[in-house]
Amino acid sequence: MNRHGTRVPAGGFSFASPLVEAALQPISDALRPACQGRPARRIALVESTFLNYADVCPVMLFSTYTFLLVFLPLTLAVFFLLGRLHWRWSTVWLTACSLVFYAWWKPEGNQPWTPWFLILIVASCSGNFLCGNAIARSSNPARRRALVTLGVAVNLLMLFYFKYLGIFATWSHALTGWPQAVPHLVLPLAVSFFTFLQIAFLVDVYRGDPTDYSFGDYLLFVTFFPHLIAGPIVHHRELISQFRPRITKPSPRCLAIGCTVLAIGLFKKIVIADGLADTATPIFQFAATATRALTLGEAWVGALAYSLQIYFDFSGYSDMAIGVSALFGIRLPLNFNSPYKATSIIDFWGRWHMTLSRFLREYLYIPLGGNRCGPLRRYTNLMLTMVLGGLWHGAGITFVLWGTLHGLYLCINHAWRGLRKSLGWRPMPAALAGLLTFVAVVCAWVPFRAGNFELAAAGNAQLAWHTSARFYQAMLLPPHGPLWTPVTDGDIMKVQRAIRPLISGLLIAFLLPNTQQFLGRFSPHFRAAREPAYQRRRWWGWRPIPLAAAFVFILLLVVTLEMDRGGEFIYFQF
Amino acid sequence: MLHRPFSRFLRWFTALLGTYLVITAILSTSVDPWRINATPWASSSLDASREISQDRRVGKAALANRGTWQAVIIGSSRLEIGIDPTHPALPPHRCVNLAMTGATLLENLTVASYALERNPQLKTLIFGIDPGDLHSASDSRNSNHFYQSPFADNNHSIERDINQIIGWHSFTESIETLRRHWQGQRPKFSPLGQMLQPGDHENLRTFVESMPLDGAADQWNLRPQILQQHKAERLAEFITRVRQLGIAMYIIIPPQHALKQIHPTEDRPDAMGWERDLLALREICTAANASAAPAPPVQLWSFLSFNAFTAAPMPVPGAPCQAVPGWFDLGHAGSALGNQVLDTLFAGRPGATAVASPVGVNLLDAQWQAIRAAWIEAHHDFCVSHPQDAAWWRSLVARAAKAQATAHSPN
Repeated sequence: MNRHGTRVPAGGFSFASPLVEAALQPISDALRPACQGRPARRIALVESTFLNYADVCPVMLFSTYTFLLVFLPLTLAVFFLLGRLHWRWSTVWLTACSLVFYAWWKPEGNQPWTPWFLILIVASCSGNFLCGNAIARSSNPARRRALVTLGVAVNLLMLFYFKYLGIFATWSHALTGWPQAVPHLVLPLAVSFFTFLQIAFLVDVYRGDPTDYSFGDYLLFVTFFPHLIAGPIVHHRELISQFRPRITKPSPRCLAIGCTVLAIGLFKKIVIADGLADTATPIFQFAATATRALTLGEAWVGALAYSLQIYFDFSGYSDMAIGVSALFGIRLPLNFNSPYKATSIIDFWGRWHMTLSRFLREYLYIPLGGNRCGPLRRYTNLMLTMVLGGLWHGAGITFVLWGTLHGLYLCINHAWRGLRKSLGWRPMPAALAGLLTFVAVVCAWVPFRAGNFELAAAGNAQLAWHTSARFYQAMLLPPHGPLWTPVTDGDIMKVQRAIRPLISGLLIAFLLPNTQQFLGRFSPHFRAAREPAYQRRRWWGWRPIPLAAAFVFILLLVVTLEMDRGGEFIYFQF
Repeated sequence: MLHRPFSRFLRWFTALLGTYLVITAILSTSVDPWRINATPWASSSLDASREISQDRRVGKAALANRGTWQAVIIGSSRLEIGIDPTHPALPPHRCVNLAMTGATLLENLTVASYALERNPQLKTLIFGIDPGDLHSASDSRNSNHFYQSPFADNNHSIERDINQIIGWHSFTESIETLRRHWQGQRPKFSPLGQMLQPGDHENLRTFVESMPLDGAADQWNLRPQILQQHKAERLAEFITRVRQLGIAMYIIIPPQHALKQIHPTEDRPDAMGWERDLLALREICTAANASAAPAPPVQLWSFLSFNAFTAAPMPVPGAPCQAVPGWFDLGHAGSALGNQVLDTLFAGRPGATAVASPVGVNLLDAQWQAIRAAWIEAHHDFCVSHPQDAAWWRSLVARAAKAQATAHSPN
């Protein structure tokens, strides 16, 4: 019997081909968890296999009734009421609510609540604000350089301590036998996000950007709850410039548009992404538990389903963040622009998690030298940026693999582009280029998803690594036997469970307009100065009419229907 | 002017959303499909139509929350199906069955603590432990069903409360409850928590043949298994706490059909089935009883025995009726045997029917060697008197063992 209560086939499961296994064995042995104690890790997805009651962490999700019917209406109502007294009271209230939103998180389900993480984020904000002010006030270049180095180093050390100490200690133990034990560290919620925001702030101050902010504005910029725990990674200039008296006057326009974008985000997350998770999760669990080999069909369905799941999950979250923020009259930057419609990997990274790409480009790739120091240095910088980007997503070997794959893709893409231009070749047909890009991205998501088995409480790096290997084995060199429906547990590949959600997801991702296209000129995202606000009206575009109100209501009704699932957002773990 | 279309949009949107929320809230609180809201205006006439089979952890938590129970039954599906809370030996209208399908020891201890905290008049606790649980790492709290129920102390109570009032599931369950009420359809669970209609297997033999039979190795100590120390400690702590509260606790190992108890090859084995578990429980209870407490000593009863009920013969292949009376499957007996269990537990109490021969044995009363010898003798007698049934069962166990060995072979 397997853990799903279904029979395991007689004959068992043979792991990937001996060649692949032999190649992986040394790495796998090195990754075998040997340390006493547990490295810093936190349950991200509620995986039935690895779910541990004591490890489930309550977070106030946008997709909960508590948030939608209690926290948000209360925050909004008091925000506008206080705005009648003075707009500053409203921003103080918003900051307080954002801190409550953050403090709602309880890192370990069976442990009492602790103010430690609230103190940590406020202390981090205070320290960075003071450091930024000291840099701004100083006219001595050496002192400015020393201060910014210190500030960035402290931020990175904090991130390293909470997020990476465990994994590096595990690796060190596997290689050298030291240290004997790793303390159990809890990864503070959103530490990666608020650290990046503040590093960008310090670097910009050092570069001479005008940053005459009050501490209240700065604290609200970092802790503003719509973007606090999973982005978008906003820039201080984008957000603080909007903290003005006008936001405290309730605007029917902002409320109508905000509700619409919030409803679309909820639909993407709860209906589409969680529906696709029902297809992807059991397939990845089969690969992880190795109860049997995956068929070719299962492996591709699993990889495609997860690729769509993570897109709808994260873009849904970003929509919700933009929608919630719009209710307060504040615009957040776009994070997604139909990334699977990209025709190259370079294009993909201009459409996927756009605010992270921007951060990595401006604060890592360009300072490293970017493309200004010759091709070799450029490719090195690209690889380094993407590997660190992978590591940012998760302290695990498979996240490094994901980053490395994307680094390689980018190098190949740049090299190909250079070669094509030098030889005078025409670009590849867009459909073929799009298909190639999509397949490359799907393949890279496999180790990314397998990384969950490393982050889960009962998981380890070896398990994540083997899961990826088993997946690639089935996708590229399927074992003898059925190619599509497995002999046992065939329910996974049933049309209504696998094919229908997958095709629906693909059609929505490739054929339907994205949220900002649907909203058109009403889209509430933060626009760069060069971006035109006006877009052509389409017959299918959103407009403030009763039919659109009914549409939004129906979206919410379908969301309510699916809301009992109670999944978490994938990007909370980062 | 500029705001007029947006204001109209908002008016329509809030009207639609508000109407839905108000209708759902009124319906859910007045129908109260899982008895969880307990609002003053909830209709009592619907009680016989409320169904908790899909959300039993929510429904049972609601029952536990009532605060008036004097006796509580806790355990897995074996007790959920078999133990009738309306048995005359139990306090009338003051006993509830909180046993739940799939519940293992740690979840049951959590449920018992939950019931204890909310029912100050509690006097009797019947606590079922499935054989093998103490040596198994499985923890049924690691499931979404538990996580989403009030039994889980995970700070999700606000979310759960709102969900139970305006959630779509509450809305549809309310409609279903009304439909059952109007059509006079009975639910699968009694208002006191017992599962009444576990479902029929028209052909029990075929059903059993399709089920995995992978427990023999643990049952007969054929592979090493370690006692789950944390489970044993939690159980010991709980017994001590219950005794300090003056509550009479009965730990029972629920009955199984005789076929599920026999050795895979031996008619006269040299040990009892699940002997490790029984001994560990005996040790835990003996230690807990050693301390002084206002309550009587905890009792430990095993109903893994061979008697007229458990030794009911399998139907003859090809016979028109392929069911075994009183058994849902070979691991779940109905109330007929459950009543015998209660009559045995409460022998001599008002309401308990005198039993000619007890269907279980008090593991703390008698000498272990005597219990063991009697059990092995009864095992032998059953195997000799039911040779065809025993052979059929052993062939299934052998087939399962072979499949398992193949599955775990290196290639």
